[in-house]
Amino acid sequence: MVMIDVVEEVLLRLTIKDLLQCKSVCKSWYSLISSPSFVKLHLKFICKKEDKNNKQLGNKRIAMLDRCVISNGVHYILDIEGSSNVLVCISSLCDNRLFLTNPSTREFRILHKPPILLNKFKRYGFGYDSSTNDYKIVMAINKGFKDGTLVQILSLKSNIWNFDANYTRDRKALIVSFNLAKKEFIEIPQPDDTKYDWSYGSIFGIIEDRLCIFETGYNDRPKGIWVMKNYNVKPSWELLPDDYGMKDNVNIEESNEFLKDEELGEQKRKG
Amino acid sequence: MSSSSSSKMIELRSSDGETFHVEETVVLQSETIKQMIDDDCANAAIPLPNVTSMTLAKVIEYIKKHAEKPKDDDDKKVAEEDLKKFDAEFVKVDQESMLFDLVRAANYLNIKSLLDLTCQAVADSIKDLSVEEVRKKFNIQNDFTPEEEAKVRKENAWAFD
Repeated sequence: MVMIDVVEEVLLRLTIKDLLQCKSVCKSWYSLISSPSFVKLHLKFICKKEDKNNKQLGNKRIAMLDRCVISNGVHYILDIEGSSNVLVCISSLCDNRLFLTNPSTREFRILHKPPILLNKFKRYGFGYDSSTNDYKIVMAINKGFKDGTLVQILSLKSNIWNFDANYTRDRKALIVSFNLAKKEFIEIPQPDDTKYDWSYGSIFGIIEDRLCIFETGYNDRPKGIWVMKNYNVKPSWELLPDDYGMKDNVNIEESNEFLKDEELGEQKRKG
Repeated sequence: MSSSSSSKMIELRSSDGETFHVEETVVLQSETIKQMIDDDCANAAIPLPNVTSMTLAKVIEYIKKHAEKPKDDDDKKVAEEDLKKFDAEFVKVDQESMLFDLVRAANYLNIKSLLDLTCQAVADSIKDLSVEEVRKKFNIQNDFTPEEEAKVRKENAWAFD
């Protein structure tokens, strides 16, 4: 008989697919593989092996391939709202439903709807809060320039929306980050350059793990990418050339949300 | 106690009473033994009641190889390649039980790189096995009822494709 601690060391080195098969070996393996502590260790293990384009996890950030799903004759438009570790948060635009899925294990969960749903422009963010070992979904509803932005948070462990705050602003276009652990808003400085202009076509993204802003052109190629080289340092914004990364196979990943440690950026649009 | 002398020898005693003399610098790769030396418990032979002489000999072969220091940068590259080859050969053991014994010894002696190497070898060896074959390999009794097992398999049916 092999000792269980050694079994754990071996199982940690298996792929997710093999692990799911191994769940049916015996009861103790089933509970070991299902336990949250094992899942967390395994995630650490596979993330350490290979940071990007991990064969098991795919790229850490996932792009939406097919936005439209037909179920029972009804068309649903789905959007990826964010991804963190291996979890992906998806929203259904027409009925405001929220889902969470783990593509690696093909598990799927329906989340509660936010208590306050105004018929206004909404944005979601999804991130991991290591201070509580919990995933959080942040929803921001723009109530207009005068009324500010309503922010509501769902904690995944409880599946309960247990926080809301109103963020008011003195200017029209600003970038605000929200710290999931401290529940704090922090304004992120924008590029101080005449070439920079925030417009409705501007999109947030992440390039090489740094926050970037770009405007989409007609052929879906960015017109120029502003990258913040050091997080939250104003002079570190830099304009990259139009063809940046085309040669080096750097992917720009469109994202509503920006995640760094516990911080999560939410864009406040013009009112 | 001083651990500065490189030629200082440490005596290890396996579960079946055989003694091994290993240089202290080599044996320090084991966190467990390092702790014993730091705690000044290594003046006499260190008893390793969980490790047989056969396994201990293999472990010592491993840590000796991994303690070799390359002379210069050119030598370093060659040594790295050489070490990779050594590791690959090292886990090709005749008897499967030996691999498990090595995992257990690496775990007990807390030699991280050896634990990594041997666990990965075991993981690689069960990758393509059926559930029944995994049970046989680990000598595990299936304690699911047929209904329970069918349910667990159904939960993750796609993984069996």
